[in-house]
Amino acid sequence: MNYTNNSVDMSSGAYYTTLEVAKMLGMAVRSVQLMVDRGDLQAMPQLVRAGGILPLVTGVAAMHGGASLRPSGRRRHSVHVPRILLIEDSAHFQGLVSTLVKQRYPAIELHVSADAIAGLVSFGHLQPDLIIVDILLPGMDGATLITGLRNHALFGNCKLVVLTALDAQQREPYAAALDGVDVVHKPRLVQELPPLIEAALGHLLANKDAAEEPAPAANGGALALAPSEPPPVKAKASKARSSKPKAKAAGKSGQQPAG
Amino acid sequence: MEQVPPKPCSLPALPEGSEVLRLPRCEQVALQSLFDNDSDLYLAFRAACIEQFVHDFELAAALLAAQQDRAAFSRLAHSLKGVLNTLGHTEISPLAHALQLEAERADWPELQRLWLELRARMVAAFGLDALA
Repeated sequence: MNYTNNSVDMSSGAYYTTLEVAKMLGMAVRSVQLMVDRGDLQAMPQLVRAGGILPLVTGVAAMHGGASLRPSGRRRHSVHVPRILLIEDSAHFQGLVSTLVKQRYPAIELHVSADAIAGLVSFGHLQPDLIIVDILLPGMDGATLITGLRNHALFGNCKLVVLTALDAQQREPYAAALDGVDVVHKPRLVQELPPLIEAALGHLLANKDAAEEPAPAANGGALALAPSEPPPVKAKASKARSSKPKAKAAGKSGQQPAG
Repeated sequence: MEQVPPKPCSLPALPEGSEVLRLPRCEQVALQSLFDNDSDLYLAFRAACIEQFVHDFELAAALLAAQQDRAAFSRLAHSLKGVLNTLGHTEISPLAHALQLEAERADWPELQRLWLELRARMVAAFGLDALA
């Protein structure tokens, strides 16, 4: 799991103005200020800059251990590491998802946020390839969170899976927010989540595997280059809540970078 | 009321002499129908849940003593409902679901009664006698 680091190194540039944080998170400045008021973000004393006095917000950097973002907000990776953000308050299911991902997809980085606000902040910072989100969370109504994520300026090609213990009837109040979203009923997590992970990240896993292969022999190089197009996804996941995907994830062994 | 219908199935696929043979029948069914017979994963999850139940029980006691945070109590009951269903204890999970619903409206003594009923069933189901 991704543990937080509350130390702030001002010399590293790992701090942002309120306006910059608002842009990173795709939120209004006022919303960021409210997060500061609630203590979700840490605000530092004001800094005089050319053009005005700007309050500094360091929580984004502090919560995630430093600046790994470019000024544009994009991640630095020579090889793209598939990244999942799980927003889930239940320690039980945090553990089950972590174990499952570690067991079957050791190449994937899994980060965990235990509430909606921290999840939104982590989303803006991490820019995951897949976000798995519970509906009933502390801090924010699930429908609001999901809508906020999908409207997020950085959402881009990020995939979204909802993980919930609510049955179909209990999900009705969230129908609008869940429209077109893959929903996994928690008791069927072990069966239904892996195919959705493969559907969302399969091409990234294949690319990473190809990038990590040993350099080809000189006489075979041309034939051993990684494919320029992502390979077909191994498992096709349906949108239906009653779906029962049967595809099994390929077992792998190794150490998970985070999670 | 949430129901996760266990699939009717026999249990010949369970490995002989395995720890899973000592599990309650409902858990063996869950292992087969919800975990695709991945006994390592099921047993790891079960062990982690039992460890976490200690913290859940402490949290429930604290919330009942403070009598303030209904939302947190509801979320705890909701979490336990999902866990119990996933582990195969569909006979206990309705108690957690009822507690989740009542957490938003019932008075605290009634929540205390419901909680103690759920807790006792969990203690019996998972052999948590040391916590009783």
